[in-house]
Amino acid sequence: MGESEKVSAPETVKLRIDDRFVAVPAGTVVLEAARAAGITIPRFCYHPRLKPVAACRLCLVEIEGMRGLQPSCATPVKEGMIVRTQGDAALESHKEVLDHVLRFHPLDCPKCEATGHCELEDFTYEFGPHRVSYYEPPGLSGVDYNEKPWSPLIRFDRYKCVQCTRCVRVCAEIHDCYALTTDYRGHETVISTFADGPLHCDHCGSCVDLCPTGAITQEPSRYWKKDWEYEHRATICAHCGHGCTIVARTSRNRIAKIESDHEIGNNGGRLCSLGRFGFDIHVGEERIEKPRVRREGRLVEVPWREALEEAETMLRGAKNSKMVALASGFLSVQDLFAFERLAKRIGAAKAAESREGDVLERLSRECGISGSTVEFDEVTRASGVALIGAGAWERDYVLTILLAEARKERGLALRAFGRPPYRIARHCVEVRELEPDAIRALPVGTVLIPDVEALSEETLSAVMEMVRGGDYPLLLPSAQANSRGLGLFGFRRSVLDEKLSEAEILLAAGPLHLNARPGGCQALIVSSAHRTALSEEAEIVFPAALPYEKPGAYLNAAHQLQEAEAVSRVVGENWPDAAIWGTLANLLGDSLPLTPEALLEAAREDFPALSDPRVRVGGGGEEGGRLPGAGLPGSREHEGLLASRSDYLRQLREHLERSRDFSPFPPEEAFSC
Amino acid sequence: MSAGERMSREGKGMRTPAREEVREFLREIRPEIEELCSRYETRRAALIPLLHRLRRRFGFLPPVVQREAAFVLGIAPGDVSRVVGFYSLFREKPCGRQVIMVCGTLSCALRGANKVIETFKEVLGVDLREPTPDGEFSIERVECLGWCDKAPVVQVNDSDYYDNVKPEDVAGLVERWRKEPHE
Amino acid sequence: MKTTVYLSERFELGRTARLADYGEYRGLKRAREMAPAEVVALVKTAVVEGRGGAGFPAGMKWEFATKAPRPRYLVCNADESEPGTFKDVQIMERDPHRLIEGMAIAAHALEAERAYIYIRGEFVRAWRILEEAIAEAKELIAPLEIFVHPGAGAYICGEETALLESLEGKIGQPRLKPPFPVTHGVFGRPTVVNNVETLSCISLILERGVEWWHSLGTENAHGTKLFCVSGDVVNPGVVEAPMGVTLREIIEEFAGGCRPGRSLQAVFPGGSSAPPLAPDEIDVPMDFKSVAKLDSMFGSAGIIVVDDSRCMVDVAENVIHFYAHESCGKCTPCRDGTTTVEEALKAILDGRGSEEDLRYFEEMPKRIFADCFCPLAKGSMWSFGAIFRKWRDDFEAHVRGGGCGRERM
Repeated sequence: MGESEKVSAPETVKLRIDDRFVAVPAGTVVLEAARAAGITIPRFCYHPRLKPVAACRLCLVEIEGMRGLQPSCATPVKEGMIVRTQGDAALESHKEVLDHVLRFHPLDCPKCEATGHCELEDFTYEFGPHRVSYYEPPGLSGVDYNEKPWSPLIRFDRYKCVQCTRCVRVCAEIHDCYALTTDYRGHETVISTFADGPLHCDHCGSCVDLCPTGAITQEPSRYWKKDWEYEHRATICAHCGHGCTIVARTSRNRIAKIESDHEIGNNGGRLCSLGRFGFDIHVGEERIEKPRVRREGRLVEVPWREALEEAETMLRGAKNSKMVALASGFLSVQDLFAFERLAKRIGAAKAAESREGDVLERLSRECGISGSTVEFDEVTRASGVALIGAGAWERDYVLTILLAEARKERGLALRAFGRPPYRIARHCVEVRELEPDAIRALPVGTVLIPDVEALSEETLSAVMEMVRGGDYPLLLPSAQANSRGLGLFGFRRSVLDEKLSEAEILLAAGPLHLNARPGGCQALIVSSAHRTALSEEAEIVFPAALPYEKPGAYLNAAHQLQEAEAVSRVVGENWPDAAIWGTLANLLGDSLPLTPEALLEAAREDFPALSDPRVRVGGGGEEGGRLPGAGLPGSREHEGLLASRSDYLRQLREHLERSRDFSPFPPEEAFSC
Repeated sequence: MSAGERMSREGKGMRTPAREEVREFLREIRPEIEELCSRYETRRAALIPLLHRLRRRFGFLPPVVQREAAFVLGIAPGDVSRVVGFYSLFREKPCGRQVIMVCGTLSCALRGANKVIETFKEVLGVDLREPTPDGEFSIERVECLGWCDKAPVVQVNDSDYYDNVKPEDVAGLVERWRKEPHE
Repeated sequence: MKTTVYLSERFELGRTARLADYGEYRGLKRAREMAPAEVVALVKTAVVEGRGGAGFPAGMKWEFATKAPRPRYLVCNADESEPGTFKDVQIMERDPHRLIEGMAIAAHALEAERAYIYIRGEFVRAWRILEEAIAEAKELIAPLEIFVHPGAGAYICGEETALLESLEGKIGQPRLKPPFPVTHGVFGRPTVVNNVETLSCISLILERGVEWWHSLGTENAHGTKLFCVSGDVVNPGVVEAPMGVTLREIIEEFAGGCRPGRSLQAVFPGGSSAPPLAPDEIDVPMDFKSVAKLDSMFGSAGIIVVDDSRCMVDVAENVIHFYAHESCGKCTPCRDGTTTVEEALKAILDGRGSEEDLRYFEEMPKRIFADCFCPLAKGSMWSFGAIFRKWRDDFEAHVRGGGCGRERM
């Protein structure tokens, strides 16, 4: 066998744990091997996402040939190893450690938010001690052990903390945030924010996810249901183009909270504040619940049939008008496909606010590629990455922390071009102004991550040149959940810039920045979940479902087509955009099937690129539009179309504004939302 | 000691400095900080020496000092507060301009350290870690100072050790320290 | 009692020995005439058991480190914090060049270009003296650079991995091993951490030869050693003697025994983490192996004598308070266990003790010893377990009989 083969083939190690034989990849720790064999070893400080520290001493087991008990979380397996988890020594040790913890832990389980998913509770039940061996179980009399609000969204109760420091480590190791720390030492040690002040961070919520007890909890859904009463429903976050997998905890079709699961999805448990807390966008006075049409100058609520027929009549009678169909990047593949079919049928020009479609088309024409050439995990394994344009890093928070982690773990060479300061700059070997020549000088093999929405023509040309040469992999970040899909279906920013002002009929689908009807517009048909300046000027307004409320597929920045589930009940009489525009297309003579599966199937027939396991956008034939430069919205604003509807995120923004002095970063880099 | 440092004695230990004051001091000692940093592979390694420098200047290390120190070294404020909270010589709370540290560990205890501590409390009329009203002194019972053959041992700020301290010496020592205060 | 004056040869000056007092660095000169590997081999042959307390042979540490890639670091552990120990500070304050020469020799052997002295933050005078001495010796030790790095009041930083964390500007919590410092030490580089006295002994060995070193001590242990005596004796202090001198000789002949009218009750032979010995055990030769046979520890040779006027519960409370206060908080058994034991001891002394406390003391120290992360809780519980076992009468008197009748310290 060649040397290289030996290295590449993952070796399997066989060992015995209690009465079971198990084979696991070399490098696995004993605790994980036991889990694979179906044996629970209790632990607090260990978490598969973190480096082992062997601090809590709860996972000690006997290993033949090794003196004393060994931490199973930090001991790698060896061929032929014999592990005993059920011997007296290990079981006594589990009891001892839990005994120490319970002696200082309030027993207020009935009112604790963690009841039912508390590791202290579970391990004590399974391993004992069933009576605290020394002092009586404490009530910690005289101690007010109510939670301290770290922010409007996250609370902390130091007395329920078992000092596993998983929160502190996930914050630093994975989220690169350093908002959590410890204070004092020994028995006095306490998990803390800086100066015990407000929690100033992105509020990714990983500390909540990783807390084994009820010490760190989130405010939304407090005292609503016990953990086991919620359903778990995994779906795709629609706040940006990363397409993180989120787990919605729901009750009676309402989202109570969002959690992450590191075992599924492209985000490995990482989330941002939008994904974590931006789920309450469906509520509020701004929500449109019924179709409305303009009668005698005022918008009045009408039944669906009436609104649709009015739209049908309007469109039939406007055959020769100049029509523009403007789609949002927050719409699903099904929505966009139905909208696209309608546009095609009535001869409307396909427009978008995002430049992604235009850039993709140019890429296809000039470089013969159809989008990102690498996936997220490939980017983090690269030798170097260049963030081109200041917004490139902040469009996709999860990608940014992945890059920071790769820098810390493997020394990934990061370079940033654009005006600092931004936090990722701390990890960059080079930070400089955005100049095409500097970009041309990048080492071969560097992954290029251009800020497609805001680059100058010149910079973009430089990027194209390098990609064309074949030596530079490319990742195009997406600001919106499906702005990549917009490109695939042919919606273009250049079309918007060129045709909007002369549009006689405008169809506007989904959340948009456009906030006034164009001057020459005679008829405006809008689908929207919320009242906007544009919807209030429309002739017809269809109430649209939000991403959480409808099934749909989204094409993310790395060209993964991911299917989302409806996790929340539909508010009012709202329809998904696919149903709205599909029905309208059918009224005008099309024959679209109106189920998510069938629509996706039909979309795949019309756009074969969607069928690739790794989907690529095919541009090709059409004449490329020019790329306008000015007047584009700032990147955060771009993402914020949905987020701006969230009350939780509003509270977070206000909190972050108030707590800037407690930021883990210098003032100019403090978190904003 | 710079002139600025000498003038600042009045505020030391009791008053939380203004952010600008901290920044100015850090600017003043910037060459010293950079020399410290050059001794190590990481800037963070200069943290403890830097905190000693700040401790000597401000007496205690409130959050405003910690935060500015963090940014000078390019680390997170939480990583500074953690260090300040961990090590006994760094104090987050106001303390006397002269901190009287009496060793209370075994060898000193065997030779009467507890009575010495009690006498300091009586003479100064304050409890442990509670600064005297004029801000001049605070008393701490500390762990082994490493001079056990001369027990009981007392150290004031960064002074040499006072050894074989007996309860009857306490009043005289306090009197002397008032007249010739330790830096 | 046979005493020696090698490490302490300049202590008689009554002031800090300057370079002029010390003379040229003869040991360093000899070392630099040898290849680094030869110096390692020589120190290995000499067998210098680490003087910090663990007794690990310095030569072996060096050998492991030299197998790891450069750059390498040398760190001198001058965080002398074990209660009852005050020998390193004597060397640093009275004969600093002895240490600096030892470091220069070690750095030559390790091919290290930078070395740090991690000194406890309270030793302000020694810190200043060392910096002055390093400046004096700059030319002699070049290209080696030595920096003095202060701690800030944490006993745990005497543990070598906690020391390295602290040196990196972090809190002093021990690191998970492996990897060991000899391959992954400060800043992730191969690092040798040696105690002040160990490095000083090495400079003596290079100066005087391995045979001289072997001529001192017993077959169990070679060389010369500084012994510290404190507590209930007439003349506490530091004395240098060959390894293997008996504990009785040190206490009775050097330190003058207990004060008149008092008799010996207990002796901590190597700092307060070493289980105390009873009066009938003090004929033990003071070396690592011999003391270990008595289920105690030679440790740092910080001998603390306790006479019969003391209540051993009181002594135990003082000792455990120290370890609870100094616990770093990383592992559960130490963080919560030492505090629980301390609370129980306080309760007993306050007359609130119960039989349950005694049952707890029978079992818990052993368990904490077995489960904790680092030597801090191990040492404290080992020591406390022995006090409870050997002087159980005192505990019972408090729990059952309303006290032992002796005054508290």
